[in-house]
Amino acid sequence: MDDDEDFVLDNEAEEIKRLQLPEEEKKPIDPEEADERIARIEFNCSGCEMHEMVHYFGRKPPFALGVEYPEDNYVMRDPFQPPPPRWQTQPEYYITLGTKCSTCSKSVCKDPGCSFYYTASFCLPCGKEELKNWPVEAQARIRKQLSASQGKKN
Amino acid sequence: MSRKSKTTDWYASTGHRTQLNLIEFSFLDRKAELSGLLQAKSRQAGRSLVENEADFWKFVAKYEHMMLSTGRPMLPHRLAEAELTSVHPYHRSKHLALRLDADELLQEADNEMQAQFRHLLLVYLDFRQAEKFQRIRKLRQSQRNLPIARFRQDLREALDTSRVVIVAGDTGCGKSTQVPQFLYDFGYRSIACTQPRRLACVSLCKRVAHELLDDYGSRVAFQIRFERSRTQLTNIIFITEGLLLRQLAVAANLDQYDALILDEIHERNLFGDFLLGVTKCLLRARPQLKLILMSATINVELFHGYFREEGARLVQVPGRLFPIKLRYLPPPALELKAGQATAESKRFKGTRIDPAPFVQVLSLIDQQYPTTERGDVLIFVSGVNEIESVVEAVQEYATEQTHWLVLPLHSGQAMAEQGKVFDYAPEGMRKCIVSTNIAETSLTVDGVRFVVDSGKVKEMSYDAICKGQRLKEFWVSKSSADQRKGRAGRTGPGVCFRLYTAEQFNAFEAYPTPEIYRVPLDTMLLQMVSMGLPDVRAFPFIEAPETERIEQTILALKQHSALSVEEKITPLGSSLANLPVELSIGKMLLMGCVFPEVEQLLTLAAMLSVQNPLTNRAHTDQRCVRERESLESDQGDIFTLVRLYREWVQLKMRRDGTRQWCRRLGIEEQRFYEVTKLRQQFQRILEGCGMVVASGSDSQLTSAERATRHGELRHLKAMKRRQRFEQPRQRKLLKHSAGRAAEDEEERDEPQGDDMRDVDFRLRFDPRQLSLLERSARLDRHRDVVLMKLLLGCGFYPQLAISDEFNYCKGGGQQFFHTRLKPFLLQHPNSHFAKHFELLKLADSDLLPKPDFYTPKQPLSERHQLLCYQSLLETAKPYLINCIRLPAAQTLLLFSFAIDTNAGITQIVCDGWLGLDLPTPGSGMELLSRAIELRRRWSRLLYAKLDDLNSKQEAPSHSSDDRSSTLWHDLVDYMALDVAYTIRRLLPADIKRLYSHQAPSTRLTELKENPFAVDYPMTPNEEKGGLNVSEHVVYSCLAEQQWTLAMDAALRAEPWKCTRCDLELEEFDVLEQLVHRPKCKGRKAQGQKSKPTSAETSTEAPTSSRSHSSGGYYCDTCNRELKLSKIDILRHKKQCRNNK
Repeated sequence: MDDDEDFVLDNEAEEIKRLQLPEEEKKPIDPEEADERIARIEFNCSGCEMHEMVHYFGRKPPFALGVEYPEDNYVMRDPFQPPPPRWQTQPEYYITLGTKCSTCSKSVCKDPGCSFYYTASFCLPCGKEELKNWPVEAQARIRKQLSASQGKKN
Repeated sequence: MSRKSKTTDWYASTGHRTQLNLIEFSFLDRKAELSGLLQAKSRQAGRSLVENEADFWKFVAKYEHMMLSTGRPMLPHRLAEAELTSVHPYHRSKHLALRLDADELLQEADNEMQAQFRHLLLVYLDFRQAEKFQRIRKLRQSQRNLPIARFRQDLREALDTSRVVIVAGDTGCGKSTQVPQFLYDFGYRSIACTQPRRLACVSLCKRVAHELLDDYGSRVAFQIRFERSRTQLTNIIFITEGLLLRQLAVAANLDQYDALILDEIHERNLFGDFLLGVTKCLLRARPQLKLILMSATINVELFHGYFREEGARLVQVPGRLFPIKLRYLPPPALELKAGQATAESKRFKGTRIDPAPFVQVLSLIDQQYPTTERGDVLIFVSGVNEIESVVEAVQEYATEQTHWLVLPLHSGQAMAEQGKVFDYAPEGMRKCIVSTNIAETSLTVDGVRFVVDSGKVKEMSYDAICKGQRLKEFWVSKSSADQRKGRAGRTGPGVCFRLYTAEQFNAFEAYPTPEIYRVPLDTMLLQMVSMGLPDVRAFPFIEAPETERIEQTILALKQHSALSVEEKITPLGSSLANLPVELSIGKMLLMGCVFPEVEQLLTLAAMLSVQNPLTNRAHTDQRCVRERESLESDQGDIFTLVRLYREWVQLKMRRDGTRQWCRRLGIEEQRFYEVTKLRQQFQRILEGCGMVVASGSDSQLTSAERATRHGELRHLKAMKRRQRFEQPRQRKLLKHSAGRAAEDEEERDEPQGDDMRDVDFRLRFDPRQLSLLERSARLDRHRDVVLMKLLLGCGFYPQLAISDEFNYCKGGGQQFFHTRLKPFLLQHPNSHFAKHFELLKLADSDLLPKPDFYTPKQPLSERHQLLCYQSLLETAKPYLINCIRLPAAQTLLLFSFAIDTNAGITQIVCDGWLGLDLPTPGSGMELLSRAIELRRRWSRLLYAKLDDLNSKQEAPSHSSDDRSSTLWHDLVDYMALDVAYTIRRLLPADIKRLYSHQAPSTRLTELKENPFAVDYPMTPNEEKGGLNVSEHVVYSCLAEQQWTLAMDAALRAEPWKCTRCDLELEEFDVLEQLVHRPKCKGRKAQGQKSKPTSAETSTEAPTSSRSHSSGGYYCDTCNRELKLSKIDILRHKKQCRNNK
C-alpha cells in the first residue's frame, strides 16, 4: 500500500520535478499490464445500455470465495468493498453483471428487464419463445417480468 | 390458531419426515452450531463466506418470517445438482444462478438441517448479488438522467473540431462530475480539472471515483495545498486553481496533461481569471492540448468571445429546474408585528439587520403551505452577524411553531457543522437554513422549496490607494439573485421570496464584480513576471484591471526590490514568487534566512499566513477569554497566538487530547494543524532552494525511542488505513431540540472517534521533532522577540501607523491611529491593544525635559512607538489588523524607503510623512550611521545568499553564520538604543517647505570618503538638495528650522571631545565628527570587543570553513563533549545551570 505517499507533505517543486520524468522511461516496465486488478473485459448488454468493464468472464472467478457460476458470467471485483491484499480473496468480493443467453448467446445483463434465469439464462426475447415448455410457475414469473419491462419501455 | 391447524394438515399430508417445519424450528436458535457452515477453507482463520454475518442472520429471520406468513413453513426438499438443469418439475432453486463451491467450504453439511442452511446461504448470496447489481445499475441510471448526459456526443464532436470547448450549464446539470468521465471515455488519460475550492476537489474526486467504480483505487485523484492522492495510475486529477498555476510556473507548458478543464470560471476569481489568460497563451505552445471551460450560464458570451480566435465551440446544457414562483416582498409590504423578535436583539448595535421580515415569511409559509408538504427554507443574508440575528429570531419563532429546525451555514464553520445542512428533517418538519452566498453556487442543498433572499451580499473590496480592504454590504447582482432563486427549484416546484422590489431588482448590476477588481494584484503580477512574461501590461486579461492599479503594483514590487528598475525579476523576486504566501510574509522569511536560526521565524510566518485561529466565540464567551488570559502577550496578538500554539504542541508532547482544550479556549484547531503543515512547507521550500541549511539531521532518536516510535507508527498507520476504508458520512436524520438542530450531542460524541488530524500529526512528528517544534514556538527571550518584531516590521513595511497626538487624553474607544495614506483608524476591538491601549501611550515617566532651544510642542521621549500592522480592514469602522509595536525611530531608519536629514542630523524625515526631531547632540548621527551600516550589512548578507543560489553554488557559505549572528546582536543592541526624540506626522503644508533644494555645500562635495557608507558613491540629489549617501538616505537636504539653528548656535560655542578617543575639536562641527567617526580608534576597539569579526569582512569572498562556529564544546557541568552552535551552547549552559 502506498501509505507513506499519503501523508507526505506536499512540496510542489519536488512533485512537479517528479511529474516531469520522461514518459517513455516508464513504459517498458508497465505494471498495469500484469495487474489483474484492472478491469479489461468489456461487457455490453444487448437488452439495455449497460456498458461496463469487468475483470473476469467464466464460471469460477479467482477472486470469488466459495462460489461458482453454472454458466459463464461477466464478473467484476466488488467496487463497494475495500480491496483485499493482493492475491487474496474476501467474502462476496464479486458482482456478476451478466452472462450469455443460453439460446442466442447474446450478452445480457442481470436486470429483470433484460434476462431471466430458469435452469439457464435467457434474454427476455428468447425467454418469451422458450416459456411454453416451462412449468406454469416459471411461466408466471417470466410473464411478470415481461409485462414489467414492457410497461417500463412504454 | 386456524393457520396453525392448517399447516399441520399440510405437514401430515407430505410424506417426508425429514422436512423442516419453521413452526417448530428456527435456524436462529442454532446460530452457534451453524455458523461453522458459513466458513470457507482459508489460511486465515474465521474467513466467512458472507461479508456481514449480522446482515446474513437478519436475512434468515426475514426469510423465515416470510415463509411463515405466506403459509409455507415447510422447507421444500432440495434438488441434486443434476436435477437443476431439467425444466420439469418446477422448483424455486432452479432460479438460482449461483452455486457454492464445495471444495472451498470448511465443513460439509452432514444432515438435512445443515444442508437446508447451506441452501439458504446460497439464496442469500444470490440475493446480495442482485442487490449489488442494482446498485451499479441505479448509479448508471442517475448518471444517464443528468441533463449533461444528452450532450456527450455534442461534446465529443466539439472536441474533434476545436481545441477549446465551453460547457455552459447550471449547477446540477452534472458537468463537473460527468465531463471528466466523458473525456476519459474519449480516450484522454491525463485530465486535470481545476476547482476554486479545496473542498470541491476532494468531494468531486470522491464522487467521480465512485462513478468510475474506483472508490478504492487511484484513477481519480485530487491535489490541494497540503494533500494529494495522485499515483502513477491516476488519469483524472482535481486540483485547485492556485496549485495548477504553481505547476505552470515550474513546468511551463503543463506537458503532463492532455486535457485541461477549468471549472466554475463564471466565478471570476483572481486565479480563475489568471488561468484563463495563461491557458490562452498555453494553447499556442501546446497544439495537442484540449481546453474545456465550464461555467454556469452566466455571461457565457464573455468567455466565448474571449476564445473566439481559438475557434471555441459552445455546448449549452439546459439546467433541470422546476417552475419557481417569484414574490417580491419588500419589508414594508409585510405586516410587521411591532417588536416581535426584535426587542430582544436590541442589545446588539443598531447596525444589525432586522430579522422580522424573515420571520414574517416563515409565518407566511406556515399559513399557506401545510407541513405535510415537504420542503425546506433557504434564507440568504449577507454575513455571519446577520446569520446570527436571523437564527436567533427564527429560533424564538420556533418555540411556538415547533416544526422549524434552524441551521446556520457559512464558510467559517467547521466541516462537521456545515455537513448538518445536508441531513434530513424529520417527517412534518422543515429545515430553515440561514446562509451567506456560499449556498448560491458553491454548496448545493437538496430539498429546498422556499428561498428567502435578502438581496444583500458582503463583499471585500480593495482600496489600492491606502492598500486596505473593505468589507461592505452591497445589493447583489441580477445574476446572483437569479442563482439564489434557482435554488428553490431543484427538487420540485418552488417559491422565491425577494425582500426587495422588482424596481430595485431592475437596478441591480448585471453581474458581480470580478475578484480581480477587488483584491491586491501584487502576488499575481509577481508570479506573471516570474513565469517569464516580458510585460505584464500585455497580459491577455479577460477583463483587465485599471492600468493605474497595475502601475502602482509594479511600483510597490520595485520598492520591495522584487523587480528591478527595468521591471525584470530580481533574485529576491523570484525567491518570493516561490513562496506560497503574501509578499510581506515571503519577504519576512527571506530576510530572516540570513540569521543562524530560522525555526521561530518559520512558526511565526506560518501563523501569520493562516486564518485567525481564534473563533468569534473566543471573544464573546467569557469563559474562553478567561482561559486564555494568562497566555496573552503584550507584544501583539500574533505573539499570543504563537504562545497558544506552543501550549498546544506541549499538550501533543504529553499525548494529551488537544481537541477539548482548543474548544475550551475558543480555538479552531484546524488552523494549528495548518500552521504546522505550512511551517514544514516553508522549511522545505527554503531548504530546497538552499536559503537555509537542512536541519534535524543531528537529532537522531536513541534505539529505545526508535522502538517506541516504531510501535506507535504501526498503531497510527493501522488507524489510518481503517479510516481510509471507512464509509463516508451518511446523511442523517436531524434531531430536534428547541428549534435549533441539536449540536452539543455530536460534539460530545466526537472525542470518542479517532481524530484523524491528530493521527496524521503524530505520524509526522517523532518526539524529537516535536520538541524542535515546541522550541520554535518559544518566544520568551527578549532578543528573540525583538528579532521577530524586526522581521515583522521588515516584511510589513510600509504598513505602519502612528498614534494620534491627542490619544493621551482619551479613552479606549477613541484611540485613533494614522497611516501614511489613511487617517483615523482604530484597533480591532478583539485585539489586545484595544483593551490595553495604555501600552501604546507614553507614560508620564517616559517624558523627558526639553533643552531650551527646542521650542516645538511635541513630547520628547526615548519611548515613542509605532504600530506595524498586517492589514487594514474596513467593516463598520476602519480597523488595523494584527499589530505589533516597535520603537519608532529605530524602525523607521531601518526600513524607510526614503530618509532625509538636515546637515546636523537633528531632523530626519522618513518617506515624506513622519518627522523626527533629535535635539540631543550627536544622537541623530549615532542612530542614522548605525542604521545605515546595519541595513547595508543585512542586505549584503541577503544578496550574498541569493547570489549563491543563482550561481547554483554547492554548499552555501557557512562562514556567513558568524557575521549573521553578530548582525543579530548588533540589531538587538541598535533597537535598544536610548535616543530622545519627538515624532510627528507631516502635513502637506510642512512638506512644501521641507527641502532646501540647494546643491550640497563645497565642504560636502569635497569629502574624500562617504562617512556613512564607504563604498557608496555620493552624488548630489537634484530634486531635494543635499547628497545621496546611501541607497535610501539623502543627507543635508532638509531646510533648517528655527530651533535647529538655535541648537547649532548653542553648540558651536563649546568645544567637542570624542567620548571614545582623545580627539578634541575646537568647536562643535557635525561634518568633522562624521568624518572622524569611521576612523575613530576608540570606536573600532570597542566595536571589536562586541563583534569578533568586524562588519567589513562581509565584502570578502565567502570561505567555506565552518570549523570555528561548530567546533566541539565541552560542558563541564554535565561532563559531555557537545557539537553545538553558539546559541545552543548558551542555551545548553543555561539549561545545565537550571538542572542543577
